[in-house]
Amino acid sequence: MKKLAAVIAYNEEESIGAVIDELREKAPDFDIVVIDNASTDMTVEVCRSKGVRCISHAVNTGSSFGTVQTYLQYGAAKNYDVVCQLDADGQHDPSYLAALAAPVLSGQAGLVIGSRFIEKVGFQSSLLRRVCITLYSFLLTKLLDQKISDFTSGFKAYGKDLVQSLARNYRREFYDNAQILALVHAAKFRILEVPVQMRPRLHGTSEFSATRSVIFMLKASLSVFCYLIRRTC
Amino acid sequence: MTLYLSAVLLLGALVFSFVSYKIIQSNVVHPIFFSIWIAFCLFIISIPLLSFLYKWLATLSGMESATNLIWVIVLAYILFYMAYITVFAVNMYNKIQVLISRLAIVESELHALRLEQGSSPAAPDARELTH
Repeated sequence: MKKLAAVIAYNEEESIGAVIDELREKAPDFDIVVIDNASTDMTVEVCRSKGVRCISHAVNTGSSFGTVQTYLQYGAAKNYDVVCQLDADGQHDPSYLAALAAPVLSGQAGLVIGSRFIEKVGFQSSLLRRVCITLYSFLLTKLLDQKISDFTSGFKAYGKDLVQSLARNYRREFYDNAQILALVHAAKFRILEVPVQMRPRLHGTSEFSATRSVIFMLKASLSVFCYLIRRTC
Repeated sequence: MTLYLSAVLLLGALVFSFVSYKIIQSNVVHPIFFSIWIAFCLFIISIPLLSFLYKWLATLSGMESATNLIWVIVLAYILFYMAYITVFAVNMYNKIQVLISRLAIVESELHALRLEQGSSPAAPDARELTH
């Protein structure tokens, strides 16, 4: 079984080395690729010094969704059986990769999300962000007829068929995680959540300030609304 | 419409059409955009020449005056054009996103090949060229 761990990075020179080391230690059966969104620091150099393949964008694609496109394209081209996404800030514990990949490899689900809100242990994000996520999860539950507790989680595993499908059909107007989930749902792939424990960032600060969290939720709601219109009409 | 006003409008329309035609002729413009602008220039020229037709159409459609009809046509044209441009821009964005991803993947493959072959110095990657 070919397994890929795709690490999304933007200016994470301080933490990417530790993330790669931890991946090698706790998930040695996963190939590692770092998707760099045109970092301006030494992120790429750190990756290459560790002997890890680094796919670096020539220009920054804005949010992280451009990097999702890239690792999906890469995973599809290399024919991986499972593609897992992690962040480069050290929040995601690689020891959970096996738990994420297992339902995908056994055919139970097309997409597995590592949710920090099932067992509610470990790093739970800021209060405002949690409120936004809860409100939005309610909306998404109605849309997908399935409870999703942590739709913003960047800790995911995609099955081979889903990777191939998304690599062909991924569009930028699928603005956020919610739209991707809606697309997965519409394509009749099963979505599963497994409990994970997340950690605070090793270094730096999150791109999601209080204001950005609210704006993100508003834009994500709009994208779900548009999806509903398309589905209805 | 007085003769003087018609003449001024016709002159203005011809100048506008001439300038527009020169712009689209000297640039590589997609046939659809070319056609849209030619159609708009013809519409502008037709206003002073066929004012009786617009008056009749305005009466037929229940509008107060031909001026309102002309404004409706112009606004409708702008809205349709904007909608078309929006769709066009989004499609271009999607294609650019795919190109960014594919370029990054190809570049990483080249880098891996160079390392395998032990060749040096490494060619500059796309980031270095753009920064």
